[in-house]
Amino acid sequence: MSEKRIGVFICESAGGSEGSLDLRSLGKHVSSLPEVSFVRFIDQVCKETGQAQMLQALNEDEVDRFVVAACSPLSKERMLMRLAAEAGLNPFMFTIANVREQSAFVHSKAGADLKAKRLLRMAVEKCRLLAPAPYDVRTPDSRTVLVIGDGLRAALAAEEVSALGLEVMILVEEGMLRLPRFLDDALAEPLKRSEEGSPIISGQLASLDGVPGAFDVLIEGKTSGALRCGAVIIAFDPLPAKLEEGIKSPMHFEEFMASGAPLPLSLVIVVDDWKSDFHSPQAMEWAMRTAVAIRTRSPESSVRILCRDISSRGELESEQLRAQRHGTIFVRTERMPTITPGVRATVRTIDPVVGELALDADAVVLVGSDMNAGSASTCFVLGLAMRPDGMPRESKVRLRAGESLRAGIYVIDPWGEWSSADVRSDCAAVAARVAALLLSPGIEEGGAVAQVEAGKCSACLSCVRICPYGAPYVTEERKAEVRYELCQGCGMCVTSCPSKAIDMHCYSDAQIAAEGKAALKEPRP
Amino acid sequence: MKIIGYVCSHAGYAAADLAGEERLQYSPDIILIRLPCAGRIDVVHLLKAFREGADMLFVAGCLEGNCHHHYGNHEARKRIDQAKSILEALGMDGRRIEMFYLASNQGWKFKEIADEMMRRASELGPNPLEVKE
Amino acid sequence: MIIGEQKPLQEICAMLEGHQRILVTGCRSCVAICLAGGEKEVGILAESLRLHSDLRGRNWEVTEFTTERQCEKEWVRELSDLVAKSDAVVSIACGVGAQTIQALFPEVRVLPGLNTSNMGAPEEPGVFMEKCGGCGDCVLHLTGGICPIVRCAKGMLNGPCGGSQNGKCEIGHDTPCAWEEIYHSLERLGRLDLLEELIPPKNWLPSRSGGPRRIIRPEAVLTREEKEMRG
Repeated sequence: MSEKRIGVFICESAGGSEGSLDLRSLGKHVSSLPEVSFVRFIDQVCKETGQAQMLQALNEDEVDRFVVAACSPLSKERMLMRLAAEAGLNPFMFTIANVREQSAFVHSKAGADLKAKRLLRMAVEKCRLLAPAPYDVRTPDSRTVLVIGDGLRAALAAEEVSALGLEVMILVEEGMLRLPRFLDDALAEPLKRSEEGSPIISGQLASLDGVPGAFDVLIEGKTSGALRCGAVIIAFDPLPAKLEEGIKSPMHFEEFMASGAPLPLSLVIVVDDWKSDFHSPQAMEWAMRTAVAIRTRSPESSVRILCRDISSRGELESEQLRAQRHGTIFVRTERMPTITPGVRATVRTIDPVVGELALDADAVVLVGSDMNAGSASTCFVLGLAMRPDGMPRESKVRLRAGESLRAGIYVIDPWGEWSSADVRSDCAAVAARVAALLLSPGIEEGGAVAQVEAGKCSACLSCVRICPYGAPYVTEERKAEVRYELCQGCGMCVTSCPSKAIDMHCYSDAQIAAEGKAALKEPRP
Repeated sequence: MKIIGYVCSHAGYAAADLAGEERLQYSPDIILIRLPCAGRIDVVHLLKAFREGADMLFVAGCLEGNCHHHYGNHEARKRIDQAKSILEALGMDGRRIEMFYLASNQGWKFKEIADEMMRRASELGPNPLEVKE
Repeated sequence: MIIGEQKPLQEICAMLEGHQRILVTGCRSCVAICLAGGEKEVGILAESLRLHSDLRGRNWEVTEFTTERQCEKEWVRELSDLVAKSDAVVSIACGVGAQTIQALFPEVRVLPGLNTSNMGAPEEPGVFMEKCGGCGDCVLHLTGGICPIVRCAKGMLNGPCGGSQNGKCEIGHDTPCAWEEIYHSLERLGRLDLLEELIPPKNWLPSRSGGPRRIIRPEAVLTREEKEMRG
């Protein structure tokens, strides 16, 4: 076994501009620890000159790992990874003792000095137990993006992705995209082009294997076969509300409007936003645009829109004003109206001011969604946790919007956008994230990742169940293995393994124990 | 007093850094061990620390509902509860160990946690174990 | 698998009074999976015992080892070196494991750290339910795959007792009525006719009432010559 040689660097700025740490004494405290090869003082670790000094020391002394006493790893880690790599070391063979933010800045001098010694000692003991971590920068194999969906979102996602220079394929169950007709030309033309441009594959997802940048997908259904892609975007539109006889759906009504038949003299559009706080404002957008279209073509027709709230935030505000100027009447109601269909239908509801209302109509259209995005089977195939609406759970929205919990699989939310223009923004945002992944010179993987010792594995599935990211799986040899390409390094699998078959790099059990022991050792002042 | 805080990179550690940048002062008796996620903490680490002379231990993770790794803070809570009941069974006070939740931009909360553990430490006294060096 | 649960820590510590060199041992098989006696639990128990000892000045020396399977002599023999240095062994494997250790090492005191409970399966992570009664005369083909011996609190063989409410057994709200489950299972299978096949009064001979059960696989038993050749 090769000898361990630990190099220790102490940043002269570690005491902050106040210079409140006795750095020389700090250096002396660790210089006699076993396997410590040197202690060097560096003017400023974050400056180029400082790094050049460190690089020289690393190369001269042939150390295989190093410790830096400076400020926070949260700001210095990436930089030191590059330095380690430049010195020919595994980029994870170093530790950092944060003696600035977590000692010099927060304690009085005497206390800060003693604590700095403990912190540096902990970092040395942790460093002693480091092993080269699996790490690579993998060029994506495929720059093709598979979009799954069949409506507006799928079309816009495909378009935005192509605009960034990536190949796109759209997987549609029925082989045809259903685009809303109310879209004005500015939006419709490019979508038609993208429809013609992006190959549309008719079918369903049967399975997906592999890693981001290199997914192997199997399709079944109308077409069946295998394809390779670099990323997947789940872009379902909400399913239309369930209808009773005599009540038209928006698509139905659009076909009717295009057929040349005489337009109804009295139209009631019921926007179903009573079910929950989760409603699709696009239902309102459709209602308003359709109202304007009807009133323009047939000024003698009356159009009433029934809803709980007039959701017209953002771009839709001008749509609302336009609809109102064209004489559309908005009727606010507290609950879902009862609709009695017929040649002349009756819509009964309660207006909060006027009271009970009974409206007669030649045509009733129900716009809304049944709170389902029809994506449940896709989630199941991809092994993604599902929300009650059938969409995959999105990763931390603040930090990783548009990402599912599985690396390389992205999600466009079917709710929440206020107009189709906003849908485009959402799609553009997700497309940008996909492009960042696939157009990068390489996808970084590894580092502080978990690893299974197959001999100890009881195949109990604890790790498979606990991982939020789907990284552990059971091999054909019936032992668990962690795909480090998907591992996000949280360590929950390590803790949950009943047979202690899993450990992780950079935060191993032995390292945490060693840090604990060193933390409790009283330094000689 | 010897107090170890096991802090997650995303919340606890970052909040401690922020407390540093804000020069919020707390006792040097408190020293931190960085974890990738609060969910990494294991009962065995905590028991070992007591045996090696820790007076108090705490774990600081992300705010509930906001764990960067989705439910690591829930896992940590369960481990702390398990450790507490072992301590109680052994005749030690379960309050020597605690779980806290905070966000990375709450430097003030980190100081609050540090001060609370010091206050509790003076109330409970040092670890009943006499640890030989 | 076999499901068990660790004894309370105080009970284990009390059993160990008078001992000094203690080996804590677990198993990678059933007890690891029901989170009672795997290597992780061995580590936690060992550390707890060391803490107990330090707190009370007992000077215990606690070692740890997790066997592959504690019911097989070859695997248990791996404990030899550690047993030689111990005056007590706490096994958190199942009762079979503890007995195997005692049989192999007759001079060391073997203490059960686990209360072995039943044969069952995980319902959800962390929740383990009894499923099989080990009665030796299985009738699952007549009950749609649901054991009436242990999943029915009364062990009824031919239909529910009438005490269930809303599909739950009268003993408690979380226990489903097994016979209701049996009915629905047979319904899904399209075999409600099986309910009409009466299960006669149970022959309890193949179950635990007649002494330790011995089952022989003649094709695997070594003949006298084989035993002689193997030495």
